[in-house]
Amino acid sequence: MSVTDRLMSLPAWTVAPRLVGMARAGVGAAAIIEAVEVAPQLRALSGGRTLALPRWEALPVLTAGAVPLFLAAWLFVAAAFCLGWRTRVMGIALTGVLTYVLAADRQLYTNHLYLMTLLVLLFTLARSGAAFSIDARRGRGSPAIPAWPVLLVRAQVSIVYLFAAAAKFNVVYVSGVVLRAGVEAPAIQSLPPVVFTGAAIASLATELFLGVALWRPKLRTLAFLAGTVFHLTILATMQLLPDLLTFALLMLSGYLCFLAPMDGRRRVAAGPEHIPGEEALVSA
Amino acid sequence: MGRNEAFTKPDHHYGPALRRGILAFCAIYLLVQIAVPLARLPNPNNKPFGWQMYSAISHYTFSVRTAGGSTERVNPRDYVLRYRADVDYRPYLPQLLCERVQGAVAVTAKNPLTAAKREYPCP
Repeated sequence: MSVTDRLMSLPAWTVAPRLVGMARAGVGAAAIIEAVEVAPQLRALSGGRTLALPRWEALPVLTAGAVPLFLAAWLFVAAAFCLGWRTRVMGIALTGVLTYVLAADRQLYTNHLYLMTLLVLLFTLARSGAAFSIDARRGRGSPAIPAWPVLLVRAQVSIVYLFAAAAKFNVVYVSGVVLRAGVEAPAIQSLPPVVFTGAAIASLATELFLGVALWRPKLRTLAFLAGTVFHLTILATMQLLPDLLTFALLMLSGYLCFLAPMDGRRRVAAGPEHIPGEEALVSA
Repeated sequence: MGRNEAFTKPDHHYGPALRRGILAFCAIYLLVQIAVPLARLPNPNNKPFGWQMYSAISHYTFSVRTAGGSTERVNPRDYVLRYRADVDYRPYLPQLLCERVQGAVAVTAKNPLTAAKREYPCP
């Protein structure tokens, strides 16, 4: 098979949907937390009580009366996406809501909001409502879903870690002052500078490791454990807890797309869900 | 992909045109996701769309000098939407403080790490 043929066959490859559906639920839960987090900021912006830095002047600003309706719509579509109810429609709507927030004001930008927008789009394209969802319970499930959006989720997770590590290759970060400024607990802040230098180097190395190791089947379990400990440590020590909780939830949801093959495999028995002429594999 | 991957043989739902469209989407997606952070990389200061989390610090303090000659330190959290220690507020905050603080004649931004100062006269 030529390279062109292999490339052309890639869009039609499929993957078992269960862990992807679980990942979708995690991303939807993160979107619910984010709505609660952003609510006071949207209210402050609409009331003109704070510095406004619109990304595009032409974009309509939410009025004070429209903010509760917008937040209610956000919570509704995020909850529906989380539960997998009319997943594709709700995924498209949630992508629109999050894109608006990203575009509304430069101060509303956060890396986790941007990541969330991308992941909601990719999980929508992946037909992630095919399992672990209300849609599946109502007979709209499928034993196999497109693999290409799942591969893009994997790539996205690696890109986030690798560029986060690359940006930390600077004297200020490696010295530890960035981490020292970001920690919450006074007991940790009073630790000697060398501790923060060590933590900075360790965090940089962890991100580099995760960006690569998640792709290697032999290292995947270790990467999953290292990533979980990494995000829990950040949550336990750093400021901006809701932001970091959302970020951890998004990244750990992304891990599930790497872990799917490690969950055991079996061939789908021929039956109503069997794709004619094909042998789909699903996670046990 | 590794030998343990759970991806299966292709199904036949996609025609050649759709397959080309999907490949084009993937290529553009990856290109943007690599090119934009690469372009941001030479200046790691929490630039958006660059995945620069906690990579640098801009922990400036701001103080306002009034016409009466007094100088008062201000808390940026009182004026910005979402305060982050790694965001550089110097391009925005002095102008806002000039507008909001009564009698302000100048705003000074100081980096406590380097003691570097810059004064922004109010218009």
